Amino acid sequence: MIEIFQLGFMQRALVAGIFIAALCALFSVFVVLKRLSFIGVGISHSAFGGVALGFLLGINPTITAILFAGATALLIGFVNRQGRLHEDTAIGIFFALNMALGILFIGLSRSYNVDLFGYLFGNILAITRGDVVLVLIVAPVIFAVILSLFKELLFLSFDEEVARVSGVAVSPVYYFFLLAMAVTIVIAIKLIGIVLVSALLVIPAAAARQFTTNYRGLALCSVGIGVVSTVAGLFLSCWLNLASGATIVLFAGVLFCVSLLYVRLRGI
Amino acid sequence: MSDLVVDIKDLWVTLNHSFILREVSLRIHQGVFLGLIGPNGGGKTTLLQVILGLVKPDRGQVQVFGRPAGHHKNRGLIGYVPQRAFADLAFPVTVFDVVMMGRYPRIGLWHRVTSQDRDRVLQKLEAVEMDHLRDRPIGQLSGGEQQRVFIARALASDPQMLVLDEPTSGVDNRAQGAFYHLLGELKVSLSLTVILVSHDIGVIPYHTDEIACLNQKLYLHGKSTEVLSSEALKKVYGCEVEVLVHGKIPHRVIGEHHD
Repeated sequence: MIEIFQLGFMQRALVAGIFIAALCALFSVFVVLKRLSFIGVGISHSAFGGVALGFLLGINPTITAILFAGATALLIGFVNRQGRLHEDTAIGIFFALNMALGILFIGLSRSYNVDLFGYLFGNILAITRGDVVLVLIVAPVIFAVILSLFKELLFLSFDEEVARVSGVAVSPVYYFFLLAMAVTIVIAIKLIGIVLVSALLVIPAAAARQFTTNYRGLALCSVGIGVVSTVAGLFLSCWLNLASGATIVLFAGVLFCVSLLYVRLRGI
Repeated sequence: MSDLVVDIKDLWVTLNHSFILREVSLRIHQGVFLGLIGPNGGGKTTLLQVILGLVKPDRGQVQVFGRPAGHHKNRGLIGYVPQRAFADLAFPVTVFDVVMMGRYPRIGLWHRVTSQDRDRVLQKLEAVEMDHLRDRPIGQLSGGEQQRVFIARALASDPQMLVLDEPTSGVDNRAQGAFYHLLGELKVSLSLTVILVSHDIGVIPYHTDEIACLNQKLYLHGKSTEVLSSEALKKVYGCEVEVLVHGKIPHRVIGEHHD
Protein backbone atom coordinates (compact mmCIF):
# COMPACT_ATOMS: atom_id res chain seq x y z
CA MET A 1 0.00 0.00 0.00
CA ILE A 2 2.85 2.34 0.86
CA GLU A 3 4.22 1.90 -2.67
CA ILE A 4 1.24 3.84 -4.00
CA PHE A 5 2.62 6.98 -2.37
CA GLN A 6 5.98 6.44 -4.03
CA LEU A 7 4.48 6.94 -7.47
CA GLY A 8 5.30 10.35 -8.91
CA PHE A 9 1.79 11.17 -10.10
CA MET A 10 0.38 10.12 -6.73
CA GLN A 11 2.79 12.39 -4.85
CA ARG A 12 1.84 15.32 -7.10
CA ALA A 13 -1.86 14.57 -6.69
CA LEU A 14 -1.49 14.31 -2.91
CA VAL A 15 0.39 17.59 -2.49
CA ALA A 16 -1.94 19.49 -4.82
CA GLY A 17 -4.98 17.71 -3.36
CA ILE A 18 -4.24 18.59 0.26
CA PHE A 19 -3.79 22.28 -0.54
CA ILE A 20 -6.85 22.40 -2.79
CA ALA A 21 -9.01 20.52 -0.29
CA ALA A 22 -8.03 22.79 2.60
CA LEU A 23 -8.77 25.88 0.52
CA CYS A 24 -12.11 24.58 -0.80
CA ALA A 25 -13.10 23.59 2.75
CA LEU A 26 -12.35 27.10 4.01
CA PHE A 27 -14.58 28.52 1.25
CA SER A 28 -17.26 25.99 2.11
CA VAL A 29 -17.69 27.63 5.53
CA PHE A 30 -19.07 30.76 3.89
CA VAL A 31 -20.73 28.89 1.03
CA VAL A 32 -22.81 27.05 3.64
CA LEU A 33 -23.37 30.01 5.98
CA LYS A 34 -24.25 32.44 3.17
CA ARG A 35 -26.09 29.79 1.13
CA LEU A 36 -23.97 30.09 -2.00
CA SER A 37 -23.91 26.38 -2.98
CA PHE A 38 -25.30 26.96 -6.44
CA ILE A 39 -22.97 29.84 -7.18
CA GLY A 40 -20.18 27.26 -6.84
CA VAL A 41 -21.95 24.99 -9.34
CA GLY A 42 -22.49 27.91 -11.73
CA ILE A 43 -18.88 29.07 -11.56
CA SER A 44 -17.36 25.61 -11.96
CA HIS A 45 -19.47 24.76 -15.00
CA SER A 46 -18.70 28.12 -16.56
CA ALA A 47 -15.05 27.08 -16.49
CA PHE A 48 -15.96 24.45 -19.12
CA GLY A 49 -16.42 27.17 -21.74
CA GLY A 50 -12.99 28.53 -20.85
CA VAL A 51 -11.27 25.15 -20.97
CA ALA A 52 -12.78 24.39 -24.39
CA LEU A 53 -11.73 27.82 -25.72
CA GLY A 54 -8.22 27.18 -24.44
CA PHE A 55 -8.07 23.94 -26.43
CA LEU A 56 -9.52 25.62 -29.52
CA LEU A 57 -7.01 28.48 -29.48
CA GLY A 58 -4.11 26.39 -28.26
CA ILE A 59 -3.74 28.49 -25.08
CA ASN A 60 -3.22 27.03 -21.60
CA PRO A 61 -6.81 26.06 -20.65
CA THR A 62 -6.21 27.09 -17.02
CA ILE A 63 -5.81 30.71 -18.11
CA THR A 64 -8.98 30.78 -20.24
CA ALA A 65 -10.87 28.88 -17.54
CA ILE A 66 -9.89 31.48 -14.92
CA LEU A 67 -11.10 34.25 -17.26
CA PHE A 68 -14.46 32.53 -17.87
CA ALA A 69 -15.02 31.50 -14.26
CA GLY A 70 -13.94 34.89 -12.92
CA ALA A 71 -16.20 36.80 -15.30
CA THR A 72 -19.13 34.52 -14.51
CA ALA A 73 -18.56 34.87 -10.76
CA LEU A 74 -18.63 38.66 -11.07
CA LEU A 75 -21.71 38.59 -13.33
CA ILE A 76 -23.67 36.34 -10.96
CA GLY A 77 -22.59 38.53 -8.04
CA PHE A 78 -23.61 41.68 -9.93
CA VAL A 79 -27.05 40.32 -10.82
CA ASN A 80 -27.49 39.24 -7.21
CA ARG A 81 -26.57 42.74 -5.93
CA GLN A 82 -28.87 44.48 -8.40
CA GLY A 83 -31.82 42.54 -7.06
CA ARG A 84 -33.77 42.62 -10.34
CA LEU A 85 -33.25 38.97 -11.16
CA HIS A 86 -33.06 36.20 -8.62
CA GLU A 87 -29.64 34.70 -8.09
CA ASP A 88 -30.76 31.21 -9.10
CA THR A 89 -32.11 32.61 -12.38
CA ALA A 90 -28.75 34.24 -13.13
CA ILE A 91 -26.88 31.03 -12.27
CA GLY A 92 -29.25 28.98 -14.46
CA ILE A 93 -28.60 31.31 -17.41
CA PHE A 94 -24.81 31.66 -17.13
CA PHE A 95 -24.33 27.97 -16.35
CA ALA A 96 -26.10 26.93 -19.56
CA LEU A 97 -24.55 29.67 -21.73
CA ASN A 98 -21.02 28.71 -20.72
CA MET A 99 -21.69 25.01 -21.25
CA ALA A 100 -23.16 25.82 -24.67
CA LEU A 101 -20.09 27.90 -25.56
CA GLY A 102 -17.88 25.01 -24.43
CA ILE A 103 -19.72 22.54 -26.66
CA LEU A 104 -19.52 24.98 -29.58
CA PHE A 105 -15.77 25.44 -29.10
CA ILE A 106 -15.21 21.66 -28.96
CA GLY A 107 -17.15 21.29 -32.21
CA LEU A 108 -15.07 24.01 -33.84
CA SER A 109 -11.79 22.42 -32.77
CA ARG A 110 -12.86 19.28 -34.74
CA SER A 111 -10.67 17.01 -32.70
CA TYR A 112 -11.70 14.50 -30.12
CA ASN A 113 -9.79 15.62 -27.10
CA VAL A 114 -9.29 13.18 -24.28
CA ASP A 115 -7.86 15.89 -22.01
CA LEU A 116 -11.22 17.61 -21.99
CA PHE A 117 -12.70 14.67 -20.13
CA GLY A 118 -9.95 15.05 -17.58
CA TYR A 119 -11.21 18.56 -16.92
CA LEU A 120 -14.83 17.42 -16.72
CA PHE A 121 -14.34 14.52 -14.33
CA GLY A 122 -10.85 15.02 -12.92
CA ASN A 123 -7.73 13.06 -13.73
CA ILE A 124 -4.87 12.69 -11.29
CA LEU A 125 -2.60 11.40 -14.03
CA ALA A 126 -2.95 14.74 -15.78
CA ILE A 127 -1.50 16.75 -12.89
CA THR A 128 1.89 18.03 -13.98
CA ARG A 129 4.74 19.42 -11.93
CA GLY A 130 3.71 22.86 -13.21
CA ASP A 131 0.19 22.36 -11.87
CA VAL A 132 1.58 21.49 -8.44
CA VAL A 133 3.78 24.60 -8.44
CA LEU A 134 0.75 26.71 -9.41
CA VAL A 135 -1.29 25.23 -6.55
CA LEU A 136 1.59 25.70 -4.07
CA ILE A 137 1.84 29.38 -4.99
CA VAL A 138 -1.84 30.31 -5.41
CA ALA A 139 -3.53 28.27 -2.67
CA PRO A 140 -1.56 29.64 0.35
CA VAL A 141 -2.05 33.22 -0.90
CA ILE A 142 -5.83 32.85 -1.27
CA PHE A 143 -6.00 30.95 2.04
CA ALA A 144 -4.21 33.78 3.85
CA VAL A 145 -6.36 36.48 2.27
CA ILE A 146 -9.64 34.70 3.10
CA LEU A 147 -8.44 34.16 6.69
CA SER A 148 -7.62 37.86 6.99
CA LEU A 149 -11.12 38.76 5.72
CA PHE A 150 -12.70 36.14 7.96
CA LYS A 151 -14.38 38.53 10.38
CA GLU A 152 -15.86 40.65 7.60
CA LEU A 153 -17.11 37.55 5.75
CA LEU A 154 -18.62 36.22 8.96
CA PHE A 155 -20.43 39.50 9.62
CA LEU A 156 -21.84 39.77 6.10
CA SER A 157 -22.93 36.12 6.18
CA PHE A 158 -24.72 36.72 9.47
CA ASP A 159 -26.39 40.03 8.70
CA GLU A 160 -25.43 41.80 5.51
CA GLU A 161 -27.49 44.94 6.10
CA VAL A 162 -26.08 45.61 9.55
CA ALA A 163 -22.58 44.85 8.26
CA ARG A 164 -23.06 47.49 5.57
CA VAL A 165 -24.34 50.08 8.04
CA SER A 166 -21.40 49.29 10.33
CA GLY A 167 -19.04 50.26 7.53
CA VAL A 168 -17.96 46.84 6.28
CA ALA A 169 -17.19 47.22 2.56
CA VAL A 170 -19.77 44.56 1.80
CA SER A 171 -19.78 44.66 -2.02
CA PRO A 172 -15.98 44.70 -2.54
CA VAL A 173 -15.55 41.88 0.02
CA TYR A 174 -18.32 39.85 -1.63
CA TYR A 175 -16.96 40.29 -5.18
CA PHE A 176 -13.45 39.51 -4.00
CA PHE A 177 -14.74 36.36 -2.32
CA LEU A 178 -16.46 35.21 -5.53
CA LEU A 179 -13.36 35.93 -7.63
CA ALA A 180 -11.12 34.04 -5.21
CA MET A 181 -13.61 31.18 -5.29
CA ALA A 182 -13.48 31.16 -9.12
CA VAL A 183 -9.67 30.90 -9.10
CA THR A 184 -9.84 28.13 -6.48
CA ILE A 185 -12.36 26.19 -8.55
CA VAL A 186 -10.17 26.41 -11.65
CA ILE A 187 -7.04 25.13 -9.90
CA ALA A 188 -9.16 22.33 -8.39
CA ILE A 189 -10.83 21.06 -11.58
CA LYS A 190 -7.87 19.04 -12.89
CA LEU A 191 -8.00 16.96 -9.75
CA ILE A 192 -11.72 16.81 -8.98
CA GLY A 193 -13.35 17.76 -12.28
CA ILE A 194 -15.73 20.54 -13.31
CA VAL A 195 -18.80 18.43 -12.62
CA LEU A 196 -17.83 17.52 -9.05
CA VAL A 197 -15.70 20.36 -7.68
CA SER A 198 -18.66 22.24 -6.21
CA ALA A 199 -19.17 19.31 -3.82
CA LEU A 200 -15.87 20.19 -2.11
CA LEU A 201 -17.24 23.73 -1.67
CA VAL A 202 -20.29 22.49 0.23
CA ILE A 203 -19.85 19.09 1.90
CA PRO A 204 -16.93 19.83 4.29
CA ALA A 205 -18.67 22.70 6.12
CA ALA A 206 -22.09 21.05 5.85
CA ALA A 207 -20.69 17.99 7.65
CA ALA A 208 -18.58 20.04 10.08
CA ARG A 209 -21.64 22.06 11.06
CA GLN A 210 -23.18 18.97 12.62
CA PHE A 211 -20.20 18.57 14.96
CA THR A 212 -19.69 22.12 16.18
CA THR A 213 -21.58 25.24 17.27
CA ASN A 214 -18.88 27.88 16.92
CA TYR A 215 -17.36 29.29 13.76
CA ARG A 216 -13.73 28.61 14.67
CA GLY A 217 -14.52 24.95 15.27
CA LEU A 218 -16.54 24.94 12.07
CA ALA A 219 -13.61 26.23 10.00
CA LEU A 220 -11.09 23.82 11.56
CA CYS A 221 -13.39 20.81 11.35
CA SER A 222 -14.34 21.69 7.77
CA VAL A 223 -10.70 21.88 6.64
CA GLY A 224 -10.06 18.58 8.44
CA ILE A 225 -12.95 16.86 6.67
CA GLY A 226 -11.88 18.27 3.30
CA VAL A 227 -8.28 17.11 3.66
CA VAL A 228 -9.18 13.67 5.06
CA SER A 229 -11.69 13.10 2.24
CA THR A 230 -9.13 14.05 -0.38
CA VAL A 231 -6.29 11.93 1.00
CA ALA A 232 -8.55 8.94 1.62
CA GLY A 233 -10.31 9.40 -1.71
CA LEU A 234 -7.01 9.58 -3.63
CA PHE A 235 -5.69 6.51 -1.86
CA LEU A 236 -8.87 4.50 -2.48
CA SER A 237 -9.09 5.60 -6.11
CA CYS A 238 -5.52 4.51 -6.74
CA TRP A 239 -5.85 1.27 -4.81
CA LEU A 240 -9.19 0.22 -6.31
CA ASN A 241 -8.54 1.85 -9.70
CA LEU A 242 -11.51 4.24 -9.46
CA ALA A 243 -11.98 7.79 -10.77
CA SER A 244 -10.18 10.10 -8.33
CA GLY A 245 -12.62 13.05 -8.26
CA ALA A 246 -15.64 10.84 -7.80
CA THR A 247 -13.98 8.81 -5.04
CA ILE A 248 -12.97 11.96 -3.13
CA VAL A 249 -16.48 13.40 -3.37
CA LEU A 250 -18.10 10.11 -2.37
CA PHE A 251 -15.78 9.79 0.61
CA ALA A 252 -16.77 13.30 1.69
CA GLY A 253 -20.39 12.27 1.19
CA VAL A 254 -19.88 9.31 3.53
CA LEU A 255 -18.41 11.65 6.17
CA PHE A 256 -21.46 13.88 5.74
CA CYS A 257 -23.77 10.91 6.37
CA VAL A 258 -21.70 10.04 9.45
CA SER A 259 -22.17 13.62 10.69
CA LEU A 260 -25.94 13.29 10.28
CA LEU A 261 -25.87 10.00 12.17
CA TYR A 262 -23.82 11.66 14.90
CA VAL A 263 -26.47 14.34 15.35
CA ARG A 264 -29.23 11.75 15.39
CA LEU A 265 -27.46 9.62 18.00
CA ARG A 266 -26.53 12.62 20.15
CA GLY A 267 -30.12 13.82 19.92
CA ILE A 268 -31.34 10.63 21.60
CA MET B 1 -20.62 72.36 15.77
CA SER B 2 -24.38 72.57 16.11
CA ASP B 3 -26.23 69.92 18.05
CA LEU B 4 -28.12 68.87 14.92
CA VAL B 5 -27.56 65.17 14.32
CA VAL B 6 -29.96 64.57 11.44
CA ASP B 7 -30.99 67.31 9.03
CA ILE B 8 -33.35 66.29 6.23
CA LYS B 9 -34.58 68.88 3.72
CA ASP B 10 -37.31 68.20 1.16
CA LEU B 11 -36.63 64.47 0.81
CA TRP B 12 -38.34 62.50 -1.95
CA VAL B 13 -37.92 58.77 -2.50
CA THR B 14 -39.63 56.75 -5.23
CA LEU B 15 -39.67 53.02 -5.83
CA ASN B 16 -41.05 51.52 -9.06
CA HIS B 17 -42.50 54.90 -10.06
CA SER B 18 -44.53 55.36 -6.89
CA PHE B 19 -43.74 57.68 -4.03
CA ILE B 20 -42.50 56.16 -0.80
CA LEU B 21 -41.57 59.50 0.77
CA ARG B 22 -42.66 63.00 -0.29
CA GLU B 23 -41.32 66.40 0.78
CA VAL B 24 -40.07 65.13 4.12
CA SER B 25 -38.11 67.61 6.21
CA LEU B 26 -36.97 66.54 9.64
CA ARG B 27 -34.38 67.78 12.13
CA ILE B 28 -33.24 65.66 15.03
CA HIS B 29 -31.12 67.22 17.75
CA GLN B 30 -28.44 65.60 19.82
CA GLY B 31 -29.72 63.65 22.83
CA VAL B 32 -33.32 63.37 21.61
CA PHE B 33 -35.25 60.10 21.78
CA LEU B 34 -37.45 60.24 18.69
CA GLY B 35 -40.31 57.82 18.06
CA LEU B 36 -41.12 57.47 14.38
CA ILE B 37 -44.66 56.18 14.00
CA GLY B 38 -47.10 55.69 11.15
CA PRO B 39 -49.11 53.00 9.41
CA ASN B 40 -47.50 50.03 7.68
CA GLY B 41 -46.21 50.98 4.25
CA GLY B 42 -45.95 54.60 5.35
CA GLY B 43 -42.23 54.76 4.60
CA LYS B 44 -40.81 54.52 8.13
CA THR B 45 -38.22 51.90 7.30
CA THR B 46 -37.31 53.72 4.07
CA LEU B 47 -36.68 56.93 5.99
CA LEU B 48 -34.38 55.01 8.35
CA GLN B 49 -32.57 53.48 5.39
CA VAL B 50 -32.04 56.94 3.93
CA ILE B 51 -30.57 58.15 7.23
CA LEU B 52 -28.35 55.06 7.35
CA GLY B 53 -27.20 55.68 3.76
CA LEU B 54 -28.69 52.40 2.46
CA VAL B 55 -31.21 54.15 0.18
CA LYS B 56 -30.30 57.15 -2.00
CA PRO B 57 -32.83 60.01 -2.10
CA ASP B 58 -34.35 60.95 -5.45
CA ARG B 59 -34.48 64.55 -4.35
CA GLY B 60 -33.53 66.52 -1.28
CA GLN B 61 -30.66 66.76 1.15
CA VAL B 62 -29.90 64.41 4.00
CA GLN B 63 -27.13 65.39 6.39
CA VAL B 64 -26.11 63.11 9.26
CA PHE B 65 -23.52 64.46 11.71
CA GLY B 66 -23.02 67.34 9.26
CA ARG B 67 -22.05 65.00 6.41
CA PRO B 68 -24.10 63.43 3.60
CA ALA B 69 -25.87 60.24 4.74
CA GLY B 70 -23.73 57.13 4.22
CA HIS B 71 -20.45 59.12 4.41
CA HIS B 72 -17.56 56.87 5.39
CA LYS B 73 -16.62 59.16 8.26
CA ASN B 74 -19.99 58.36 9.87
CA ARG B 75 -18.83 54.75 10.11
CA GLY B 76 -19.15 53.58 13.68
CA LEU B 77 -21.09 56.69 14.74
CA ILE B 78 -24.45 55.02 14.10
CA GLY B 79 -25.57 51.84 15.82
CA TYR B 80 -28.34 50.00 13.97
CA VAL B 81 -30.80 47.41 15.27
CA PRO B 82 -32.76 45.95 12.35
CA GLN B 83 -36.38 44.90 12.26
CA ARG B 84 -36.29 41.29 11.33
CA ALA B 85 -34.78 38.60 13.42
CA PHE B 86 -31.95 36.82 11.60
CA ALA B 87 -32.95 33.86 9.50
CA ASP B 88 -30.51 31.18 10.57
CA LEU B 89 -31.03 30.11 14.18
CA ALA B 90 -28.18 27.62 13.97
CA PHE B 91 -25.62 30.21 12.81
CA PRO B 92 -22.47 29.14 14.66
CA VAL B 93 -21.78 32.27 16.71
CA THR B 94 -22.08 33.02 20.41
CA VAL B 95 -23.61 36.11 21.99
CA PHE B 96 -20.08 37.44 22.48
CA ASP B 97 -19.21 36.88 18.79
CA VAL B 98 -22.33 38.75 17.66
CA VAL B 99 -21.53 41.80 19.81
CA MET B 100 -17.91 41.67 18.60
CA MET B 101 -19.19 42.04 15.01
CA GLY B 102 -20.44 45.49 15.98
CA ARG B 103 -16.88 46.32 16.98
CA TYR B 104 -15.44 45.53 13.52
CA PRO B 105 -15.70 49.09 12.15
CA ARG B 106 -13.45 50.22 15.01
CA ILE B 107 -11.06 47.31 14.53
CA GLY B 108 -10.80 47.83 10.76
CA LEU B 109 -10.01 45.63 7.78
CA TRP B 110 -6.93 43.35 8.08
CA HIS B 111 -6.65 44.02 11.83
CA ARG B 112 -7.06 41.50 14.61
CA VAL B 113 -9.28 41.71 17.68
CA THR B 114 -7.39 43.05 20.72
CA SER B 115 -8.00 42.56 24.45
CA GLN B 116 -9.23 46.14 24.54
CA ASP B 117 -11.95 45.21 22.02
CA ARG B 118 -12.90 42.24 24.17
CA ASP B 119 -13.22 44.44 27.26
CA ARG B 120 -15.37 46.87 25.31
CA VAL B 121 -17.68 44.07 24.14
CA LEU B 122 -18.05 42.74 27.68
CA GLN B 123 -18.84 46.23 28.90
CA LYS B 124 -21.68 46.54 26.34
CA LEU B 125 -23.01 43.12 27.29
CA GLU B 126 -23.09 44.26 30.91
CA ALA B 127 -24.91 47.44 29.88
CA VAL B 128 -27.76 45.37 28.41
CA GLU B 129 -27.53 42.81 31.26
CA MET B 130 -26.65 39.95 28.94
CA ASP B 131 -23.07 39.27 30.08
CA HIS B 132 -24.11 36.07 31.87
CA LEU B 133 -25.20 34.60 28.50
CA ARG B 134 -22.08 35.60 26.58
CA ASP B 135 -21.00 32.07 25.66
CA ARG B 136 -24.45 30.90 24.54
CA PRO B 137 -25.12 30.33 20.83
CA ILE B 138 -27.25 33.27 19.67
CA GLY B 139 -29.99 30.98 18.36
CA GLN B 140 -30.69 29.63 21.85
CA LEU B 141 -31.82 33.00 23.22
CA SER B 142 -35.41 34.23 23.45
CA GLY B 143 -36.60 37.05 21.18
CA GLY B 144 -36.26 39.62 23.96
CA GLU B 145 -32.76 38.44 24.87
CA GLN B 146 -31.68 38.51 21.22
CA GLN B 147 -32.87 42.09 20.87
CA ARG B 148 -30.76 43.10 23.88
CA VAL B 149 -27.77 41.41 22.29
CA PHE B 150 -28.40 43.29 19.04
CA ILE B 151 -28.50 46.55 21.00
CA ALA B 152 -25.17 45.63 22.56
CA ARG B 153 -23.83 44.95 19.04
CA ALA B 154 -25.13 48.35 17.89
CA LEU B 155 -23.38 49.96 20.88
CA ALA B 156 -20.11 48.09 20.41
CA SER B 157 -18.62 50.70 18.07
CA ASP B 158 -19.35 53.42 20.68
CA PRO B 159 -21.88 55.22 18.45
CA GLN B 160 -23.44 58.60 19.07
CA MET B 161 -26.78 57.62 17.59
CA LEU B 162 -28.85 54.48 17.90
CA VAL B 163 -31.35 53.59 15.16
CA LEU B 164 -33.92 50.86 15.81
CA ASP B 165 -36.47 49.52 13.33
CA GLU B 166 -39.46 47.98 15.12
CA PRO B 167 -37.17 46.22 17.55
CA THR B 168 -39.93 44.69 19.66
CA SER B 169 -41.69 42.64 16.99
CA GLY B 170 -41.61 39.07 18.20
CA VAL B 171 -40.90 40.12 21.79
CA ASP B 172 -43.51 39.47 24.49
CA ASN B 173 -45.21 42.38 26.29
CA ARG B 174 -43.33 42.15 29.54
CA ALA B 175 -39.95 42.06 27.83
CA GLN B 176 -41.05 45.01 25.69
CA GLY B 177 -41.57 47.24 28.73
CA ALA B 178 -38.16 46.33 30.11
CA PHE B 179 -36.67 46.84 26.66
CA TYR B 180 -37.96 50.42 26.34
CA HIS B 181 -36.85 51.15 29.87
CA LEU B 182 -33.34 49.94 29.01
CA LEU B 183 -33.28 52.14 25.91
CA GLY B 184 -34.21 55.19 27.99
CA GLU B 185 -31.43 54.39 30.46
CA LEU B 186 -28.81 53.88 27.75
CA LYS B 187 -29.84 57.11 26.08
CA VAL B 188 -29.05 59.04 29.27
CA SER B 189 -25.95 57.13 30.41
CA LEU B 190 -24.28 57.14 26.95
CA SER B 191 -25.67 60.55 25.81
CA LEU B 192 -27.20 58.94 22.74
CA THR B 193 -29.56 60.26 20.13
CA VAL B 194 -32.15 57.55 19.51
CA ILE B 195 -34.48 57.02 16.55
CA LEU B 196 -37.03 54.29 17.16
CA VAL B 197 -39.45 53.16 14.45
CA SER B 198 -42.62 51.57 15.67
CA HIS B 199 -46.27 51.16 14.79
CA ASP B 200 -46.97 50.64 18.46
CA ILE B 201 -48.36 54.12 19.16
CA GLY B 202 -49.71 52.98 22.49
CA VAL B 203 -46.34 52.51 24.14
CA ILE B 204 -44.00 54.81 22.28
CA PRO B 205 -45.15 58.21 23.64
CA TYR B 206 -44.41 57.20 27.18
CA HIS B 207 -40.77 56.44 26.45
CA THR B 208 -39.82 59.05 23.84
CA ASP B 209 -39.08 62.79 23.94
CA GLU B 210 -40.44 63.53 20.49
CA ILE B 211 -42.69 61.82 18.00
CA ALA B 212 -42.80 62.12 14.23
CA CYS B 213 -45.74 60.71 12.30
CA LEU B 214 -45.03 59.47 8.82
CA ASN B 215 -47.32 58.37 6.04
CA GLN B 216 -45.39 59.24 2.87
CA LYS B 217 -45.35 62.81 4.16
CA LEU B 218 -44.18 63.84 7.58
CA TYR B 219 -47.46 64.89 9.16
CA LEU B 220 -46.19 66.23 12.40
CA HIS B 221 -43.21 66.27 14.61
CA GLY B 222 -43.12 67.52 18.16
CA LYS B 223 -43.06 66.70 21.82
CA SER B 224 -44.56 63.28 22.45
CA THR B 225 -47.39 64.50 24.66
CA GLU B 226 -48.41 67.26 22.26
CA VAL B 227 -48.43 65.00 19.23
CA LEU B 228 -50.69 62.48 20.88
CA SER B 229 -53.46 64.91 21.57
CA SER B 230 -53.19 66.31 18.08
CA GLU B 231 -55.88 66.14 15.47
CA ALA B 232 -53.26 65.38 12.86
CA LEU B 233 -52.54 61.92 14.24
CA LYS B 234 -55.87 60.87 12.77
CA LYS B 235 -54.86 62.11 9.34
CA VAL B 236 -51.79 59.93 9.37
CA TYR B 237 -53.65 56.79 10.16
CA GLY B 238 -56.78 57.83 8.28
CA CYS B 239 -59.07 56.83 11.10
CA GLU B 240 -59.88 57.36 14.73
CA VAL B 241 -56.92 56.56 16.92
CA GLU B 242 -57.08 54.95 20.29
CA VAL B 243 -54.08 55.51 22.46
CA LEU B 244 -53.13 53.78 25.63
CA VAL B 245 -51.06 56.05 27.80
CA HIS B 246 -49.07 54.33 30.50
CA GLY B 247 -48.92 56.11 33.81
CA LYS B 248 -49.33 54.96 37.34
CA ILE B 249 -52.79 53.94 36.26
CA PRO B 250 -52.93 52.96 32.58
CA HIS B 251 -55.69 54.88 30.84
CA ARG B 252 -57.00 55.37 27.35
CA VAL B 253 -57.03 58.63 25.50
CA ILE B 254 -59.50 58.50 22.68
CA GLY B 255 -59.41 61.23 20.11
CA GLU B 256 -62.68 63.09 19.70
CA HIS B 257 -64.67 62.04 16.72
CA HIS B 258 -65.49 64.69 14.12
CA ASP B 259 -67.68 63.99 11.16
